[in-house]
Amino acid sequence: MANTDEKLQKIAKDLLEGGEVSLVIGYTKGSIPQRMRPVFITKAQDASRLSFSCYAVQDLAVFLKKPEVKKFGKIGIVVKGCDEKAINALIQEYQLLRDDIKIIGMECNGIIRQNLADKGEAAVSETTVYDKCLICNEHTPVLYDYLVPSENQKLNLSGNIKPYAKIEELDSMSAEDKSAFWKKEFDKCLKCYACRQACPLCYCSRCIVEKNMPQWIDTNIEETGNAQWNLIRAYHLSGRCIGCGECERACPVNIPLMLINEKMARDTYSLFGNKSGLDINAKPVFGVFSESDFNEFIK
Amino acid sequence: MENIYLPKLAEIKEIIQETKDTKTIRLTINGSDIYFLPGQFGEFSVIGEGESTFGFSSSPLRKEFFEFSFRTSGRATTGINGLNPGDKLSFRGPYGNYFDTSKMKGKNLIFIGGGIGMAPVKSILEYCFDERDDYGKITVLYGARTVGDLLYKNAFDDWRKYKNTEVVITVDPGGETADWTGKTGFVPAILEQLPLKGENSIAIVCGPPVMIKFALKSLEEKMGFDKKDIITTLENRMKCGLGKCGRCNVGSVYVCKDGPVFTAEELENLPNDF
Amino acid sequence: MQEKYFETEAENLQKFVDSLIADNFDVIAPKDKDGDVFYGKIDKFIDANLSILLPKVSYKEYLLPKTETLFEYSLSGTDVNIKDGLDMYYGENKKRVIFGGRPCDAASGPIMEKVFNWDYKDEFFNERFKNLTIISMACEKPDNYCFCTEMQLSPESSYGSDILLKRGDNMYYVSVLSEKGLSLITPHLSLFKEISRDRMPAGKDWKKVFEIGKTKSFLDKNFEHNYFQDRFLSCIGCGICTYTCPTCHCFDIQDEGNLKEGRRIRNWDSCQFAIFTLHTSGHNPRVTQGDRYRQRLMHKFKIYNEKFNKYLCVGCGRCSRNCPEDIDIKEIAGDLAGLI
Repeated sequence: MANTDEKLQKIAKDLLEGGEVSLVIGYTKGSIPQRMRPVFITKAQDASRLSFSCYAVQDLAVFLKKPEVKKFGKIGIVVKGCDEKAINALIQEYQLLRDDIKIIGMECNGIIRQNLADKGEAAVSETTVYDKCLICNEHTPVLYDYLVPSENQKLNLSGNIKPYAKIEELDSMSAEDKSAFWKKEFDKCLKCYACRQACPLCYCSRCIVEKNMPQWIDTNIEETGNAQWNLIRAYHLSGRCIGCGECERACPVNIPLMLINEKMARDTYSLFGNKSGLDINAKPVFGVFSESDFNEFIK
Repeated sequence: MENIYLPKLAEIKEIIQETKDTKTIRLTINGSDIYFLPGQFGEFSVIGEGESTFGFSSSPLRKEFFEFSFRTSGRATTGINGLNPGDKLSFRGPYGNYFDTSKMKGKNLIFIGGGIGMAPVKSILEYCFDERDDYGKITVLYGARTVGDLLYKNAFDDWRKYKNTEVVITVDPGGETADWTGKTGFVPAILEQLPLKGENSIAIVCGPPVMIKFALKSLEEKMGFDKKDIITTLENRMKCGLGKCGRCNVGSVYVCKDGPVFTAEELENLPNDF
Repeated sequence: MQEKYFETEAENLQKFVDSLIADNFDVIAPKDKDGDVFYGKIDKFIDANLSILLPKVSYKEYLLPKTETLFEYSLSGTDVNIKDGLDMYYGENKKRVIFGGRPCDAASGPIMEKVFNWDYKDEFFNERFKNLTIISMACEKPDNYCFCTEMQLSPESSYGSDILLKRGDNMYYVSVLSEKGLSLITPHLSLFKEISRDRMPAGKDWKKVFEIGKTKSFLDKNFEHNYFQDRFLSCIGCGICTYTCPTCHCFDIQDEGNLKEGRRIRNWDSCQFAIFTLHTSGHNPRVTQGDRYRQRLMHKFKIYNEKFNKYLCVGCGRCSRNCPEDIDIKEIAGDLAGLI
């Protein structure tokens, strides 16, 4: 671990010293040993604060949409493979220029679920990491300027654990049962919009929920408003969500939002052969016209 | 037990199209006026379209109606804009503090307004006119971006009829029309041309933040006004008007209850959070 | 009221709570749900999880619901009919018991009561508060994020509780602190044995890490300070801190419906949202997330104290535990106290 941190710190230090970036966003030690937190390094001598571990849960790409952060201009950012896909999607969607960002990719073998880590869990295993880690194909980020290899063991998958198992269960349910399931989940929603704020791809300067002419989404924090909010947000992420899981992690009432996102990602892949965030030169799947589209209406 | 969020229903007596996008609405409740003081505000709404906060723009001593002025800009004001005389409007209030007229008695008064910020100024100005003998010289300085943006045009001549009163109307450079007979220049610049002294005087200033900032500077630095003798109003975003919802919180005040009227001295002690 | 003290066997406490449920009280207690613990209505005593420190979200919604109907309207021609939301609440008028919450949560009611009653009285809040009886459980092991002691409370404080329980050996010590508490146990006195005050366990000496007065002194003098802009670069403005907080009470008022009928409601809102203070003109006094988190600190540790002589914080640490970016308010309040 110490070695990883040293390599990471050296990269950040050189970037800042060389004036290639004016800010490096990375992780540092958090409030308890099992937590890490984002840190914003602007001086080379502070690069020693940077660290990385299996507790580095946050997707730091979320900060790239923040006006206060954009002001820094050229930015270096520490990313895991999943988070890096968000950067690719942002570049695809013209929210970010490839030249304005230095990607410090971290090879990652899984992140421990925060609720387990908070209880003291320290072992990375298929029973302790997030479901996204179990389906991860990007333990090494697909795009990077610098790569910090991991010294930890590869995640060992027995095949006995089915990631996002609930999706198949929901698929097999009747429409009424599915609807009842989600009604119960959305009933918990507080409309704090943490899902939106934690999402690196929810970057609209004025969210649809803040527009009231017309009032697209009921303001109430009850059945109608909650369902409208969660469903519309889901649709706005379809074909775009890169699966970092930050919405679900942030949700203070544990709505299983990744079931929706993962289901949409699977559908997008099976219908259009597209996975989000893998190629900065690809066009967003729902932003292109294709004559080979299976839908009749498009021709 | 009273539900403090329950509105009264006011009936629209008259609607005055002030400018292209602003109107003044005159209201009665059960055929009469309500009790309020200049500087206070209310929550007005077409039920179903949400409430908006506006200061009263009429003198409470003119009993036949109470009025407010608004610019159409969002959902609530678009709703109000669609109303006609005879329609009902939901109203809560009056809320907030008010201009302390006891401190103004016997003094020379200068009323400075910018754009739609003239609304609360008109309320206290006309209140003072209604008890004209209680005050010294009255000077009114009102400015807007263009001639077309001036509110209360029909009232200017009425104001001029009062004794010992000077009314100066100005528009920003470039905002004048061919037949414009008033002044041209920003409010603070015109202010400095007026023969005013801080001594035995009170200034009341309402308008856009940048106008207030420079008018305050002129009054204090060029004319020797004491900060205690300059009074303004804050236009924070509000929802409840009752000191509960937390939105208008600045420094240690709730603007809806401790304000909206503040002296320049009080304003100076507030953090830059408005 | 003169406080009264009792002992009760663990199984009698269970009988007591089950009788309350049988007597038609809504009993709200920490309850396992979705891999965490939340407050929720229990159908029997054993559904309550009394082994955890704190539920993830406070029970604020029982005082200030996520959405409250202020009134309903119906329109015909120029006629407007209004149905008072308070009358609708009286119809519901449910007596509730919060069972097994912690002293920090219990303190939130009387603290919020102040803002809901200065001058204008918010009877929605008052009625709900009146109908709520709080049976708290003293804490034995606060965690890293707890700072009730710094917030003028303690893991054993009785402020805001009607009944306070302290765990003994397979039994509980019971302090009855209010008439409301007394009337709740009076029908079940056979389950409790009255004891004298000196039989109650002595309180522990809980140590403070920082002085909140110093935090306030810093905030008094430093509205503009780099700390806020630098420290809250990592804040994503999600509002979880305010939504899970037992004392954050800011709300929005909105109309919902059509030209015929609908309602005016108030919804939870948050000072952490940019739109919270955005003027119609486009001007926003709070531009950065630093400005907005500073407001939260100011409101909790300065403004509320000056207005109502109470801090708007009970030190439960939920905002820190739940923050996706690991912003720790205890650490921050301590930092500020140290900067003065």
